[in-house]
Amino acid sequence: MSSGSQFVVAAYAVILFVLVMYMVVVGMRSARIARDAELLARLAASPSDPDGVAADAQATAEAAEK
Amino acid sequence: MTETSSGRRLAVIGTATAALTAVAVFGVFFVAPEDADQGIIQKIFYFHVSIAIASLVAFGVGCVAGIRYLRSREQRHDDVSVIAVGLGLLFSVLVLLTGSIWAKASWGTWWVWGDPRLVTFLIVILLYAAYFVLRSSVEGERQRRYSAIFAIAAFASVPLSFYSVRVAQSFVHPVVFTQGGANMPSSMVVWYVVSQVAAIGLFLTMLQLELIQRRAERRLRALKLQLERALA
Repeated sequence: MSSGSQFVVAAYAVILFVLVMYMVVVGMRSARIARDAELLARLAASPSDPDGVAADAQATAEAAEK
Repeated sequence: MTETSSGRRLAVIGTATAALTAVAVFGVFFVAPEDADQGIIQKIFYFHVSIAIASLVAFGVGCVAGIRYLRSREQRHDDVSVIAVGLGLLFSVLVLLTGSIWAKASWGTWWVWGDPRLVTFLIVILLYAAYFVLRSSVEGERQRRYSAIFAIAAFASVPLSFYSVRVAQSFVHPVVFTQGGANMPSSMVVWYVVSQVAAIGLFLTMLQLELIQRRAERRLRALKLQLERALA
């Protein structure tokens, strides 16, 4: 491989590395959101949940979103 | 905006970006001619410049979203602004890294302090890095308001960097696009344009992805709070 080619490969490898690292970070964040959602679903479905609490919580979350 | 439409938009933009990136990589390495002067090293140009322009677009989006936040005080504009600035910063760091590699190959040095383009671009990066320092130092509505004002003010440095090389008559950094057109053959311009669209598509995909995540996180936080109160 010529010296010029090595620099080109290095430049594109840097781009690829940064993009892969970005995807890892985004993936980890998604996994955390999924874990939290699962925990909340379990809490909402627990017998100690009074009637309608889960529905109220959902409505609050949607209001917060708006 | 519903989560379904956001997800569909992400799928469309993401697929189009992936296809365009594949076409751009193929075109740059297998179709575009080699530069007579620089040889294969010039191939760095296609993604280096595309990502640089995409970073400036990201800072522009951050500025516009900042203005919209100050006018409406809606959370979603603050979300767009902070994500766009973050992505702009990420792209700028990539520009700096690929530019340094290109400089070493072409000029024999990693960095030239006397070049206005390089120095002003570094100033832009440091300025936008300060955005996150400011953001982490305040909370609540003040955080969003100050961030919006900073994103708008910092955007003034973007045209400064863009035009510095033209005004100061840069000695080292080349000017490819002038008022008279591009200083390269059309067979190269075509692949540059494809790379440019792919880079902007990449920015839009990342923006959409992070927006969806941010909304999901906020909804989950609100749900958690509500359930904690109810179950206490």
